[in-house]
Amino acid sequence: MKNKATIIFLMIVGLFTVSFPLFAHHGNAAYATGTKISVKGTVTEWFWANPHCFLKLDAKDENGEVQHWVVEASNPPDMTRQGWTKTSFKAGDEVVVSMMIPKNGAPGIGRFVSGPNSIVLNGQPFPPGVPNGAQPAPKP
Amino acid sequence: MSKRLVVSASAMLALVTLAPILCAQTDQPPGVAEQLKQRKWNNSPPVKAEYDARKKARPAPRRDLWGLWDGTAEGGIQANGPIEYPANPGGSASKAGERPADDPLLGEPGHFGQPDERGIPHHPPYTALGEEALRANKPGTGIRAVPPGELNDPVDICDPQGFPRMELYELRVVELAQTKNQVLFLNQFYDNWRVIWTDGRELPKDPEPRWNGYSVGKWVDDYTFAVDTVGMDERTWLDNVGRPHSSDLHVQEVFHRADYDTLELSVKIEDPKMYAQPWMALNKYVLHRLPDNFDVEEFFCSPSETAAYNKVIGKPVTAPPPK
Repeated sequence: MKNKATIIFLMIVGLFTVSFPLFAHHGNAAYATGTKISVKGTVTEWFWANPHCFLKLDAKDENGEVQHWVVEASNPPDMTRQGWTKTSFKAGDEVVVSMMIPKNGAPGIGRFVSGPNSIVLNGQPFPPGVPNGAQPAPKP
Repeated sequence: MSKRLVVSASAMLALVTLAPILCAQTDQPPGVAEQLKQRKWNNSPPVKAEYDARKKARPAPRRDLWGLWDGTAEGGIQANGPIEYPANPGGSASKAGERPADDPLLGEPGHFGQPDERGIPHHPPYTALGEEALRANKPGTGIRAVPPGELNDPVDICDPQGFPRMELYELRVVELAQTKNQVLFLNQFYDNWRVIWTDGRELPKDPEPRWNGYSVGKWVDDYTFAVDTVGMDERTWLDNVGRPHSSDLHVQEVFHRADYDTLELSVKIEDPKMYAQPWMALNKYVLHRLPDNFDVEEFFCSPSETAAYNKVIGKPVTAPPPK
């Protein structure tokens, strides 16, 4: 009989192995999965719905011009499994997000990449807790 | 002396009878128990390891399918095709981390982008008509994956999955509810249900097609429930990789209650127009029982939400690259 610590550990392992499952109809076929860029900006909208949730944010480029970005995740039940919610982000939140970009070069669009510290929300790593449990993730 | 024996025997009998009921609320996966303490709505199924950590099996009730059954943990999402017949190609493109559109050898034997399924270890036994119908379906995953702009999967425009695709793709949480004359299959993905009649009626001859077909079921023994389904609409795909079916399709399911917490689902596909022999799409696929108070998220395919997504992301990322 496994003890509680082992269960929580397994859930955390499960969290990262199931992050962003490529279980949409198309997987990640539209994205250049080898790419990874980081964008820092201010949230303008968080859309929590099928087929995929997406986050809109405004970033400033080197000239101080505003760039509009939209970054997609997966469907709400997939995201709930990883501790995300309908209210995880609100307009005005400061975020730094890691994403992969589309193969066709479409500007201002990305898909979240998974893993620790791939999203920083108001200075804190996101998501903060363990999806199927009550306690926050233990410190590494 | 004999009176004491009778009392003891009664007490033992009571304990043995009540034990499954007494244990029912406490033998949940521990993370699920914690989650249910925190919130009563929109719960999330646990990972497989949590089910594996359960105490030993409890006996199956007789002629009883009732419960919330989790198909996610053992791989029910089936993005690359049904568990028994995935359409993953062999060769380098089958390594984790490689995706169809990133495959540098796209279209080469053994890699993604094939017109047919010759490049996978085993595929369903297509007839000539079945091969032709397969090629008309353009999926986004598996060895025949097409570029995103060329997909023609009907579920992408929120058409119903239909049956049996609801078991061969996105098999997540399903509630089975038994009434006097039906078993109701309440499916989380796309919030759809189907009716299995248990009143002894015959299957219809030459029926008008329905997305979910026409199903009748019966107990073949106390722990095994067999279902026959005919009359499924040809517009549906069998799975997420575009396997076809005709209106002659006959699906046989077997639900086997292996123990209190385990349901094994088998699905046989029989369609002589499309497939030279019947084939098993699922073979004793395991669904785990969730607690009775486990509320799941909705998962409707909403045309307005799909349109909003396509406007912002779907269409821009699948457009041809600018010259």
